[in-house]
Amino acid sequence: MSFLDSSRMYLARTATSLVLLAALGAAPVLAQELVMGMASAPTSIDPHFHANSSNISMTGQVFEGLTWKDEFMQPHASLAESWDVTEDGVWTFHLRQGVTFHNGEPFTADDVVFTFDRLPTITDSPSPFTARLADIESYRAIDEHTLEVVTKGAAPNLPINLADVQIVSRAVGEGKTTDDYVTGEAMIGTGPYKFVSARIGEVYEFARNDDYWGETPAWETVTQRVIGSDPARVAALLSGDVDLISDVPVTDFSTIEANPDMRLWSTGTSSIAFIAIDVEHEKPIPGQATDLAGNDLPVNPMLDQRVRHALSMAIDRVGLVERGLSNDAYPASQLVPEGMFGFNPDIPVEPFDLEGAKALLAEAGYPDGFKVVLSTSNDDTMRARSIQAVAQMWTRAGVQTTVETMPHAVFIPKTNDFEYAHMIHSWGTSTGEAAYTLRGIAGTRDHEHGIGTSNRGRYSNPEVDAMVTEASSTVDDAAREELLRRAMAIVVAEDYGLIPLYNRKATWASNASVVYTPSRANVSNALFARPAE
Amino acid sequence: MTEMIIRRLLQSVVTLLVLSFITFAGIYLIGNPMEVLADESATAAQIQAATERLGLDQPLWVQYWHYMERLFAGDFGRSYVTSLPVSTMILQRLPATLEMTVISLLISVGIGLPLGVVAGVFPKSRWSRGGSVLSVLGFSLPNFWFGLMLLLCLAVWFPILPAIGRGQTVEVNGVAWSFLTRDGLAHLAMPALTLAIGNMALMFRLAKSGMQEVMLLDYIKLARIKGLPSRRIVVVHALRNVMIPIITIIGLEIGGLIAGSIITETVFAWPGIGKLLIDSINMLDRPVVVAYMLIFTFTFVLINLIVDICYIVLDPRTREALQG
Repeated sequence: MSFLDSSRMYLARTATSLVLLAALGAAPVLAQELVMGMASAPTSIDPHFHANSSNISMTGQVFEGLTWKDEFMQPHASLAESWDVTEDGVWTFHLRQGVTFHNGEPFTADDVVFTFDRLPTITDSPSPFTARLADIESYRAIDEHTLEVVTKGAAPNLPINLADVQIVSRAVGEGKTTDDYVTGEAMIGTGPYKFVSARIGEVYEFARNDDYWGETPAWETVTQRVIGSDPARVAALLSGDVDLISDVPVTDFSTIEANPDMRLWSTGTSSIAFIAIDVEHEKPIPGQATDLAGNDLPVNPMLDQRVRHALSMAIDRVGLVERGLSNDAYPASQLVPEGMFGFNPDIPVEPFDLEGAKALLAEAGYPDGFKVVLSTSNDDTMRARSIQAVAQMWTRAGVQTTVETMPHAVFIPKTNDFEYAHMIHSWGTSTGEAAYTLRGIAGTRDHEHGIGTSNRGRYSNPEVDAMVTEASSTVDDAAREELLRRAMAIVVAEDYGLIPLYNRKATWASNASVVYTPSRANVSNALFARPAE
Repeated sequence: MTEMIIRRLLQSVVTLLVLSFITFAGIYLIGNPMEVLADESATAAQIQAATERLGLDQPLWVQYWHYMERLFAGDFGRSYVTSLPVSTMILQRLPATLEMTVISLLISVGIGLPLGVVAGVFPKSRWSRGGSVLSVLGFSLPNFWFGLMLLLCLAVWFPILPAIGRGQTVEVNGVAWSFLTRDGLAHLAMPALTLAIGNMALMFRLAKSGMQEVMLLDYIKLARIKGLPSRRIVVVHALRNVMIPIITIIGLEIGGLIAGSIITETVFAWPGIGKLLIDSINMLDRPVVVAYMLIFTFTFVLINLIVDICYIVLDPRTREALQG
């Protein structure tokens, strides 16, 4: 995979395999403490409160789902040892036997039923987990270790969705609210680490579960501290206060690399930054696309595929990533990163061609160019830096670009109200497969069915919609992936409905005693860390 | 005096009401927090349901009225982000900010003031001049830069102090305090010093210039002629007059310290309330922001009140004005 060809990543992966090999041969190194410095805190430690990756990753140390996602976001068996599915969508999950909760009670199918029942009762959630169960029609426990789930039609993504649904015990969880999880009273799972204590938003402590059903957990104790400030996090690592930090700022890469006692671990993430373009309005949104004198253009120029193609050609993605983003990203060819299910290897990164872009603009009837406003959120420094580079590149091609940036909390409501026509957004393919992305940002807006909910330029192509819908009910992996690849090619390489920019990297740093397996989901937890030999 | 205190507190109720509305309306105008918080793939129905459940679909007046109704019943509401009671969230973090502020105030007054007095009594000494130069530095160095330099020197290069966090805490009535343990004090040292440095310079200058002025006045000369010991002249007679402007500034600065602690808290990952405010503003978590504003406005009102009482104690003229 050329995606992983950065030497750092190669080293990281080699080191991981070496440690794994060593662990198989000799007894694993035990009795160690891990202190982590995290860039942000989870909003809650109730595993069913808020479906975002940092919450799921932290509680995933204590609780487990029927499946789990590895560092490439692929699902594997966890509390469910195996499963089979019939043609009409009846899934039988064979649950692992001999698993106990941290309080010693056995884990049974009834606990899964209790968990599934609990999800819809969490009413104040900003982002409920019920979306993970959306494919499910009904479920029941057949016996203590067998669960039957009936889905609405074929549901190829059920195993990956279930990885996020962490199982709690009925005996402990009955009648418990989110508050009881926050106090720790209900934090009883089956996972490799037991919950010890937490000061919310500050520090979270865990201890090894000695009765864990799987491989013995690597750390005796795990402490996760929240250190929001970048330099403070790096200082904490260098001073030895913590062993491992997340979100290493790019400016500190060289310092850490030069230090023989420190290690860097990085990977491409599932997140892609792209430009969304208003292709719906016949007349441009007022002020967003004007002639050189500043008057609104009579027709929205972005309706013309050649203009969108020209704007994509005018962007030097390699230069953007190397100089604008200090190599902390990869140039993106499409809306999911390389290696992800649905990635189309036949779509190249759009080659930079300034003359070609000018020619295409002239052909589309804009030989002298026009003016546009490009906007984004400045909470994300990478996007704030790339927007300036893109604006200059567009201006060189004749489309004079003004930049507008604002806080995320202001930007998102305004884009929902369609006040902006050209925006840099980013999107993380959190499910690990492209259907989620194509539906979310490139599907024709259909709020009833949750399609195109983040399609802020209102790109719409019925052919793409049909392919994605078909893919979502195709169980055969090869056929499904082929459909997604074709849909992806239409969106980015034929219609230029969305313009991919870059795929951001995520980087962790540790001292020499820790080996970290960077996860593409960009989550930081003790499950991905091991003691170095 | 009681009458003045009551009048002040009543006035503050009006201030609090106006402020709560401005904050409430300000965040309301930015947008629906659910749009920011919701999952990228949430359907319109899900967002709508969450919005309605929290009453965010109602007109501003209605929302404000409901909020105030609950507030008067002593309930600050629940955070949109964590779903925890706001009072719990604030109480959990307030002690961290308070102890940092108080210790930094002790450092700045405890060091800046005596040094300033000495420098003011002997204005021509090398000491006094050196101190003035240093105090200019203390004023002009940005807080976050000074904090980062401290981190670099005392935690990374010469690791004698821990870099971040609160360290070991002791619970008193369910509230965690760092200053009661050795480890906690070690953690407090750098943040408190960072926060204190600007204030220390201010105290030094105020005390120095005040002293210089007072020492030339006739009543000090008289005291000298009467043969009072210099120590008594400085500490009892001169200092008392110098203290009036200093008390005013300390009062103002406590507010500034609490507000300015946000930067220090960020640098040292100090889990105080400033960090909570910034996070909450970014997430449009209105219940937390409004509660924060109300609590701190009330704190400012109280501080000003205490400053006024100090005036009365220190300066007989204010006492007479009050009675007259």
